[in-house]
Amino acid sequence: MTNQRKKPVFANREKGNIKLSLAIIFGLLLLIVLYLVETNGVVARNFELRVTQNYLKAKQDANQRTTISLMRVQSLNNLEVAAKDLNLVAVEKVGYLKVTPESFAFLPRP
Amino acid sequence: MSKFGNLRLYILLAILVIAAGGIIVRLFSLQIVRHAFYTALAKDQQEVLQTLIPRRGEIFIKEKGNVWQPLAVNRIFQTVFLVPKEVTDKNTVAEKLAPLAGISLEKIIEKLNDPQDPYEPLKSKLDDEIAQKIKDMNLSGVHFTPENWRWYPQGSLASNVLGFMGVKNNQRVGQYGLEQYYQDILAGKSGLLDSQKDALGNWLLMGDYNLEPAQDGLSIYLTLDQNIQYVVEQKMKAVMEKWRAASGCAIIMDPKTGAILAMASLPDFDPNEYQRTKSEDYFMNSCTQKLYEPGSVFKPVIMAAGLDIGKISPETTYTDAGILQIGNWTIKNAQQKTYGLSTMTQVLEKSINTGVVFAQRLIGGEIFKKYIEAFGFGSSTGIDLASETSGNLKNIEENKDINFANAAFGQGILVTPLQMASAIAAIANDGKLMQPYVVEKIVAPDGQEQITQPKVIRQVIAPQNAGQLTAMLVSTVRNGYDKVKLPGYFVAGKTGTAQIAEGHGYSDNDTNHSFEGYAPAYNPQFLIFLKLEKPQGISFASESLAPVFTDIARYLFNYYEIPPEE
Repeated sequence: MTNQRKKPVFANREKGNIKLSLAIIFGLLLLIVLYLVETNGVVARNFELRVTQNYLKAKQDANQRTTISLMRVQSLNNLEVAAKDLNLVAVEKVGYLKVTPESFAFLPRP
Repeated sequence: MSKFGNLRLYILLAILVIAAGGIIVRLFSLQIVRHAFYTALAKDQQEVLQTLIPRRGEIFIKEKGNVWQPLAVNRIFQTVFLVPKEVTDKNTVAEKLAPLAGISLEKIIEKLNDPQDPYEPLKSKLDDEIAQKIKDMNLSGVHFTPENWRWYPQGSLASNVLGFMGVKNNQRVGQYGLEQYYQDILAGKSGLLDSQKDALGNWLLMGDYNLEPAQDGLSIYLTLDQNIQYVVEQKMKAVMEKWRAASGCAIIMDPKTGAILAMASLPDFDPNEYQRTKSEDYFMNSCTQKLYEPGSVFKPVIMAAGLDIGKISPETTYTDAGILQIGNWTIKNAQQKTYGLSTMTQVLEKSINTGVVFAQRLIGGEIFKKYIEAFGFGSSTGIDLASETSGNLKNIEENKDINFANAAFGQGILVTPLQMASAIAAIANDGKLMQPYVVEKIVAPDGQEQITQPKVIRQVIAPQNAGQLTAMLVSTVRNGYDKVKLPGYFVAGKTGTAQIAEGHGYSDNDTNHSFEGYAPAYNPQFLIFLKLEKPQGISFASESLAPVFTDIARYLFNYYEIPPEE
């Protein structure tokens, strides 16, 4: 009687253990897969980052070259040399317009 | 078990014990004795420990309309280096490199002579175009590395104000001028990256890392105006060349604030090529670091003191005999001239030495000394530039009558051009002495601005007395200097032709010429101070510098759109 009662209990426990073991193994496998996916993602990002860094550097170099060319063009020495060929005439006398508050243009509008 | 069986077991055991002992000893050596060495080796292979260099702050110069132009920036240059063991044909490499690098053939061959040498730097700060030309030649053993250097796009413009980035104790630091004065602010703070790297030495995102970011330097925005600076430098270079002067200095200042609009010290240098400068003296800013006896440009100072204590007025008269005896010393007017009855205004107009000595005697030595000090002579102005000189008033500290008399017409005291300009600016600014400055604002990388506020040092003379003196100086320009032609404008000014001390006396041939002036006199927008050291073939500053003063003043009237008053 007693044996007959114990048998199904043992069988159930065994089945439970197997399920638990399978769950643990499955969980571990899932973790390993997740780990591999994440690691792969990080490594891929590393490569992407490197490519972007190189791209950025190339752009920065190009930007520097442009900025330097602009600074050279805008430098006063360069402008003076460029202006020489334009045959500019020096201003002899500068006239100023005197704007008084009574001027028509400055009167408050009705 | 047999006897031999036991023996074999013992031998095996002994071998195992010896082997285990050997392993333990080796492990002890590796893990304990040489722990530090292998830890460092592993760290070097797996970790990146990198000092992060901050970006140096840049310097900008102003243009009308609050436009800013770069004056000192950071630029990546290529440095070319050789690896002699990789070079197969030394002569060909040297022949191709020599003209591009600007280095002699022999020197390059000498660098290639040691085949074991793994690194031989050839030339730094290589221009992009030249670097590309060398790269295109595809020479074996020739490599490039990028290096960050300071670059001054305007060349020598305001070089003595800027200073340069030099090398001191194997460190790149700012030297002279702003680069030295603001070194800490411009330099920023280094950071640190402690992380893991892959086999190629690239930083890995995985794993722990410790990052202390570098703090970039702050940028500096100047009160200097690049157009005014350029015009002033060109004019001064021309006049220096014309009269073969040893040096020149020009200061343009806003007398109401003390802001320096231009400061030229000549001869100057190109901060990009500072190593090629002929003499270290060229790095000095003669406006702030060079002392000289100012001569007659100092006369307004004694007049200011006299007016302020009420001992003289513009109309106070005295009779000039052309000569004055003080103890054993004789004081004469320039060119031995005698002017007879003269007012104090005429004393300035004709620059009469005996006249200012008359005023000085009315004031007395002690009070005169106090005013000289109150105008800022004998102490540094506090300008934000490196190594300013404070002047020398030793002679008048001796309290001798002859020294006070000499000081009245600007001899026997040593001042800097900036002190002189600041003192005259105080007269222009209703008697208020302002602290001169060259930095308008300092801007942090996050855009936060620290704006310089004009600083009043002290009220030296009362505003009404400053006004009276301005009128005297306007009269001086109108009646004294026919070469200052600025019709319609009230211009206050004074020249000075000072003797230069030589041995125990003064040079018979050499003089220093100065011209100071401000305009419009009764609402001054700018002050101009000019100085030439030892001009040749010309006797007076009213001849040598008055035309330059006129040109610069006219340019400033047009630049700031200041209409004539008359």
